[in-house]
Amino acid sequence: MDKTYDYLFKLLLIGDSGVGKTCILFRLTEDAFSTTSISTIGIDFKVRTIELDGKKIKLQIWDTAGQERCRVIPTAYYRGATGVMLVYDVTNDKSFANINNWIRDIEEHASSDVETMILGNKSDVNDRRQVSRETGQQLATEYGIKFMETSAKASVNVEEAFFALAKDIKTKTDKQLASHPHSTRNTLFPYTPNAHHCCGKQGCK
Amino acid sequence: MLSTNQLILYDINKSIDAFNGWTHTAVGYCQGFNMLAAIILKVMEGDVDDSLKVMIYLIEGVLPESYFANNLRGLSVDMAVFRDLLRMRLSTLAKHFDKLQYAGQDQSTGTSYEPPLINVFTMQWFLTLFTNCLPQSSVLRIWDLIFLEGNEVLLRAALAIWDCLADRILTVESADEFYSIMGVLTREMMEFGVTDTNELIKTICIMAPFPFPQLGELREKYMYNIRPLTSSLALVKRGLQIFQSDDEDECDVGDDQIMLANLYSTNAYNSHKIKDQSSRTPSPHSENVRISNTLANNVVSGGTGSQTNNFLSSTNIDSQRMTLDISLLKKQYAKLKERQRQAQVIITEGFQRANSSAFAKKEPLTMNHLLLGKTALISKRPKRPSPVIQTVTRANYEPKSPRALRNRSNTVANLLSNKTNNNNNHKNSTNERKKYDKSSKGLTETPESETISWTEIKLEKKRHKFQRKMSEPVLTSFQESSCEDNSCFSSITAGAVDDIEIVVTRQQMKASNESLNSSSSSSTELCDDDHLNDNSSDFASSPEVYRKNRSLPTNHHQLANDNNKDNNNSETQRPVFQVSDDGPESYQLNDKSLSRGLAANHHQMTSETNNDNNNTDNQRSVFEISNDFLESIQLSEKSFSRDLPANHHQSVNDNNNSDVQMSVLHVSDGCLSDEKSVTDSGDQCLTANNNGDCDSSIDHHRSDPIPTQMSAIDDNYVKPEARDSNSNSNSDTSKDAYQSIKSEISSLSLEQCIQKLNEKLVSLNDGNLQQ
Repeated sequence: MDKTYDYLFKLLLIGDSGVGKTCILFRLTEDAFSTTSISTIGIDFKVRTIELDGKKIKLQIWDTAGQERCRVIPTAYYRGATGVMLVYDVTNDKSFANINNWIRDIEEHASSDVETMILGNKSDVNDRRQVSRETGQQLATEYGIKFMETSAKASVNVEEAFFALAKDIKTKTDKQLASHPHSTRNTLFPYTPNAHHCCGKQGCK
Repeated sequence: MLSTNQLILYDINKSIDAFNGWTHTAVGYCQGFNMLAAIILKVMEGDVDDSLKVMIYLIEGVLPESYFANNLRGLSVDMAVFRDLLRMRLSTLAKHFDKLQYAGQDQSTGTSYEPPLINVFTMQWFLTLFTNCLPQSSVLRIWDLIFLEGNEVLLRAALAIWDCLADRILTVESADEFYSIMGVLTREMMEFGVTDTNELIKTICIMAPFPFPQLGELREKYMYNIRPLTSSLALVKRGLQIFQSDDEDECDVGDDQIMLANLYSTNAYNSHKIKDQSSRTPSPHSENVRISNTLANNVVSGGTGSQTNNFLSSTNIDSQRMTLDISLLKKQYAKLKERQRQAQVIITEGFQRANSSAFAKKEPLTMNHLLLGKTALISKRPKRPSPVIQTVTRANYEPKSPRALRNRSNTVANLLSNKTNNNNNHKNSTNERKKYDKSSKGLTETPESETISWTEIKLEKKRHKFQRKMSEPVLTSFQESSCEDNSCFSSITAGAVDDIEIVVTRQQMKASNESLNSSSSSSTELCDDDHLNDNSSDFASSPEVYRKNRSLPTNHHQLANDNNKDNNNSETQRPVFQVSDDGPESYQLNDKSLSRGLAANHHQMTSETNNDNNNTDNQRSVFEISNDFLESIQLSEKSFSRDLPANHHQSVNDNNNSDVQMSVLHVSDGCLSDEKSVTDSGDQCLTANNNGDCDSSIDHHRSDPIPTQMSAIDDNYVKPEARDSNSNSNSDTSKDAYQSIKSEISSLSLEQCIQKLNEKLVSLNDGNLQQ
């Protein structure tokens, strides 16, 4: 299989169950919305290749099951992730309150310099909204994390969010590459085994 | 695979509502249940009630424990086990996976860490029992096998599927490619199947004899290793991320880490064992520690080159890790010590209570169970005596049970705890007691499926509460406790009991054959598979010995028989819960008496039980009943199998649990007088594989369990190796004990029942002590 991309970013979608992680992913990869999506079992993944600054970036997005008891499953996937999308549901303040727990999970399992972003999904449902945009923004600011309100259904901000995250990761990667030209390209975390040779792909000259 | 539309077609909401009645139990709703529910609903033609039964049976009776609960620990174990199996069976593929995971990907994709590649797929297969991976025709065939042969079919099927996919997977060169191609393959599989369904089933069946060799050992290994390691590590997580192996998931446990995990458990186990059996422990503690430290050193030094350890390469960090290792070991040891202490407290307390309360002589029974390790060591009793009554009559502490059974018991306890009336309270207590027999019996049957519940601290607190309660006269304490207390209690009981079992069982399981043989027969139940096999040959070859033991006249035998006669004449209507609880005892006991030629009693009692159960509209109690019936059926089969060549003993008991349990559902169904019974649809749909054996067994159990039919069932299920017949002697005597109590109670009001029950327990235990 040819390398049809310059970068491969692994992203992780986390958040309480029912906040719309799978729908966001569905919107991103298929540009569609299903009202009858079935809860994710264990962990799933989808791929979307985007183009950013003339570079092809393959996003390997891991979609997790949000149910409490399933939270142990993706822990192995935190570690390989270069970016995390933390999703809550603006019509469900509990899912918003749980952001703190999720952030703790990220801190615990993910690499220290993982790029994170908070998404307040279902922003189209204004009549049942429980978490205001300001509240969400405030929390994100507290953690120093980017924030966006999205709507998978209305296709609002989904692409933008992933592009923003990918851009951040790319910037970080490029910076790291510049300072450690011999390190593995996308490695943003300290687990890097044998930080060694270049990957020999285009864009890594 | 059912599509979303089909899910809607079968009104998933309806089924979810039904499951809600069940969600407060140990399992509760788990993501992925909808897949299972959809298939079951379809097979059951939309009958929600029956589907629920099948569902519960599937999850609690067929699948390994904690498959959907407890952080999906059972699943995690199976995932780890499966990776080992893959290595054993499809080594080329496994090596390729390893290559992709570790070496290849970090140059080709630039990423440095990759979780085990197959996890994402295998996990989904296991969680949905292949419903989201294969076409429905194949899925149903596999389900047949799962119901018939047990949960190991999951692993077999996964192996078969990977085998089919191997050719194409071997062509990929990076993890990323692998995921891409798997995306395609998954869709293909879903649509066309991985191969011809008959071929697939054939592969699954012939890849290894049933039960799968080494599967039990592997499961046990991971069952004991995964959780303790990670839970103790949680405290030092940040500093020790390298060993962390990502929680229970342990997805990225490399070989080093597995070795380390083994270290922990070995060490923990040994230190634990030493405490109780210092005089007999084969390997001294110090030596063990030394070994583990050496190994840990090896890991530290040798592992740095490997993927997971690269990050910590400086010697500083290495030494830090060493320190952490030791502290972890200490922690583990302290934990076990504490647990043991708690067990002691319970025992002692119970013992004191025994001397001062009306229940005076019950506690020795408890002692017998909890201190199996100890009594075994000092036991002067002859090999395999028949002290069984103790075990059963008073089972305040649950011995190790097969996960299915215990899980079910827990469920039952939880279910019951939600009811506030005295009936339920009483039932709880009775139920508590019953659990222990079940588990004690069950242990020999599926030891590989045991769990150790490493309970959290908060549970320990509860346990203290539980201890206090248990020290009171059992029945009254139940009645006094408030609703909340009660519900709390029952769950605690389960948890606390688990813990105690662990202590005992762990040591017992590893105890030498010597101690096993010298201990009571109940202790033999606690041995693991290996021991079982070791011993079973003895039993098998000397059925006379076994029978002799069995026929040792005890007070309880006579008592039971007397009571049997008395009470069969007085078939007063009893409180429903009372009945549902006691019914099985009568059932099993009657099976026993039947095997002695008291056929009339048997039938009478059986029908009585069924009649009583007809009053139980409450679905929960139905499952309660089914549990009990399971027990009784197993017992009955055991008792009948006694008369068969020893080779037959293990048949249903060991590996064909599922068959027996299947019949349970039917029995309970019959009790409910459901027109559209699980049996009917189940026979049609679930046994598409046309296993006549299963069908016949079901029918026998449901309609008229007479001895000839029972033996026929046994014949059907003869397995090559003979297994333990030891538990039979237990159950026999215990059956008597229960029978005496039960039959007496049958004619009394609830209060009287309780009173009687207490008295009976005392008298039984008096006799026991005298022995």
